[in-house]
Amino acid sequence: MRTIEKSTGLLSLDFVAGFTIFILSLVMVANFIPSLLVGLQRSRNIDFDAVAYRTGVILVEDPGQGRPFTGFVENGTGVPGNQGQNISWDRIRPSEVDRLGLAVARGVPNILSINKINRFFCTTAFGDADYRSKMLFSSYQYGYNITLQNLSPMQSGDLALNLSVGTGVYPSAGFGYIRRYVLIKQNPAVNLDLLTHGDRGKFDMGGPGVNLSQANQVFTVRLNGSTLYNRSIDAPYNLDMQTEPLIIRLTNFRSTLNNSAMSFTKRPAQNTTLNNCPSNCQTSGCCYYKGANLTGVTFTRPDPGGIVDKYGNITPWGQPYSARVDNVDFIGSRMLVTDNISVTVYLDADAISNSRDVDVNFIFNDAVPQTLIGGILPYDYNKANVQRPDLATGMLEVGIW
Amino acid sequence: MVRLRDDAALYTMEGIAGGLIMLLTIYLVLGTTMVFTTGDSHISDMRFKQEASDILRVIDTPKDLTGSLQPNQSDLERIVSTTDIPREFSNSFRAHLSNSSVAAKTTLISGNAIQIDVNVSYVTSTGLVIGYNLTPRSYPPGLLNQVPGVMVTHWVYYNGGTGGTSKPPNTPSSMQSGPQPLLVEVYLWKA
Repeated sequence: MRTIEKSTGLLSLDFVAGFTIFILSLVMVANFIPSLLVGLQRSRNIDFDAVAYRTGVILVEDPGQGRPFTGFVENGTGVPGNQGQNISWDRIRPSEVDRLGLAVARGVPNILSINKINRFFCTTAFGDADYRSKMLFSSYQYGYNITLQNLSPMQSGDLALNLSVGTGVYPSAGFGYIRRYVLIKQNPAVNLDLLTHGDRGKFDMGGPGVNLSQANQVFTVRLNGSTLYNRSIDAPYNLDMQTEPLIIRLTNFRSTLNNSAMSFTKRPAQNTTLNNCPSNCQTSGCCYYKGANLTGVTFTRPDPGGIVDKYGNITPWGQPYSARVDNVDFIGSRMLVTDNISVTVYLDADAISNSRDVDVNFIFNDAVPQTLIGGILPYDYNKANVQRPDLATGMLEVGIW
Repeated sequence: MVRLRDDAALYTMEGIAGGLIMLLTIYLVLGTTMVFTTGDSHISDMRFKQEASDILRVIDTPKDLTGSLQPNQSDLERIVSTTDIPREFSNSFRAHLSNSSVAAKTTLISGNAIQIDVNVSYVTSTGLVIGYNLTPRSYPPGLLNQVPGVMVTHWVYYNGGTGGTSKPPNTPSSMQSGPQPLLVEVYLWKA
C-alpha cells in the first residue's frame, strides 16, 4: 500500500462538486438576465415606433418641399416666366419633390391641405420608391401603411376621405404606429345657384349688368389682387390663389334664361320637360328650353389699358384647366347651356398680385333666348360670394413594420 | 476483512442535493419572471400623450374666420369662457378617441375608458396662482394623483366677455374680471 505523506497538489472531490454547481448556477443566471428585461430586448419594436413617430411628424407638421418649378405637372413642358418659382410640391412633377409633407404652411402644424392630401395619396403619381425616399428617409425596407380619414363631414358635394397608401395591411404583431389628429383645409369655391340667388329669372350682380341690346352678355368673376394678396389672414383660412384652384360653379342656369324671348326645341327626351310649352310643341310631349350659347370663358385684366390674356397665358400648367358645360367638357367655340357651367383652374403663380386683378368672363352670344345673367361677382371673403368651408377634423395613422 | 478508508469518499451528499435544489429554484424563478423596464412602457404613454396633445390642439383651433377676417373663437376658448356643466369638453375629447377604428388594430384606446380632469389656472390680484375645475368631475374624489396618466396643456386667452369686464361664470371669487391668460391643464388616464 502506498501512502501519501503530504496532501500538496491534491484536489478534494467535494471541492470539485461544489465548484461545478456554482459555475453552473452562474452560467444560468447570466443566461437568463437578458430575457428578464423585456424592454431592452424589444429594441426592434422601439425602432418601428420611432420611425412611425418621425413619419407622422413629417406628414402632419411639415408643408413638404419641392425644387423650383421647371415645368408642367403632367406633360413636362415648361412655361417661360414660371420657371424658378417655388411652387407647392403638389403642383410639380413627382421627381422634383424632395419631401412629402401635408401641412398647409410652416408654423401651422396639424392643419393639412386637401390638395396635398389628394396628391399624396395619388399612387399613379407617386410610387413605392418615392414614399421611401421622400417620406421614410431610410434604406431599410420597412413595411408601411398611411391612412387618413375625416372625422367631421367634408363640405357638401365632396366624398368622405378614406385614403390609404402603403405596402399592405398591418401585420398581426410587431409593428409600430402613431395616430395624429388633424384639421383639413378644403378648397373654397364660387357655388352660384342661380335659382335661389337673387331674383328668379335674372341674376345681375351690378357692374356693366345685363343689356339685351348688345351682342354679348358677359358675366364676370373678378379676382381682386389686393383682397387676395392680404397676408394678414392666417394660412389655414385664407383664399390662396397660389396653392388652391379657382372653382366656379353656376347651377340651375335655365332659371336665368330670358322668358320674354323664350324659345323651345324638340330634342330626344333626356331633360325634364317644362310646363309652359307652346301648344304646337306640347302635343308632341317633347319640348325643352333652348339654352343660351356660351361662346367662351376668357381671362382678362381689368387694369386700365388691360391686356386681354386668353386662357393659356395666365392660366397655367398641368391638368389645371377644366371647363364643363352641362357636365360635358367645353370644346369648340360655342356650346348650348341649359343647366350648369363649372370651371376649375389653377392660376399662374404670378397672375395675381397686389396691383394686378384678373377677370374670369363667361361670354354668351345674342342668340335667343338671351341669358339674363350679367354683372361682376367679386371673389372675396364674403361667404355669399365665395364659400369657404370650415376646417374639417380628421385622423392620420402611420404604421411601420 | 476489508478495511474501509475514507480515501476518495464524498463527505456531503446533502450538500450536493442542496446545490441541485438551488439550481432548480433559480431556473424556475428566472424562467417565470418578467421585469418591465421603463424603456418599454413609455411608448404607449408617448402615443397617448401625442394623441391628447393633438386633440387639444384641434379643439383649440378656430374652424373659421369672423366677419372682420380674424380667426373665430376656438371651441376651447368658448368652453372656457362659458360654463361647462354639460361636460362638453370631455365629451368632445372622448368623441375624437372613440372615432379611432381604422388601421391600427391593437391597443386602441376607447374613449369611454378615459378619465379626464380639466384644471384651469389663473393669477389673482395678489399674484397667487389658483386653479379650478372646468368640467365637473365624474370619478371618485381622491382618485386624482393616485393613478398614472398624461398631462397636456394649452394657454387660452380669455377676452373678458362682452365689454371686456366680466369673468367666466362659476369661477372662484378671487378671479379678476377682464381679459387675462388662462392655463388649461388636461390630465388623462385610463380607467
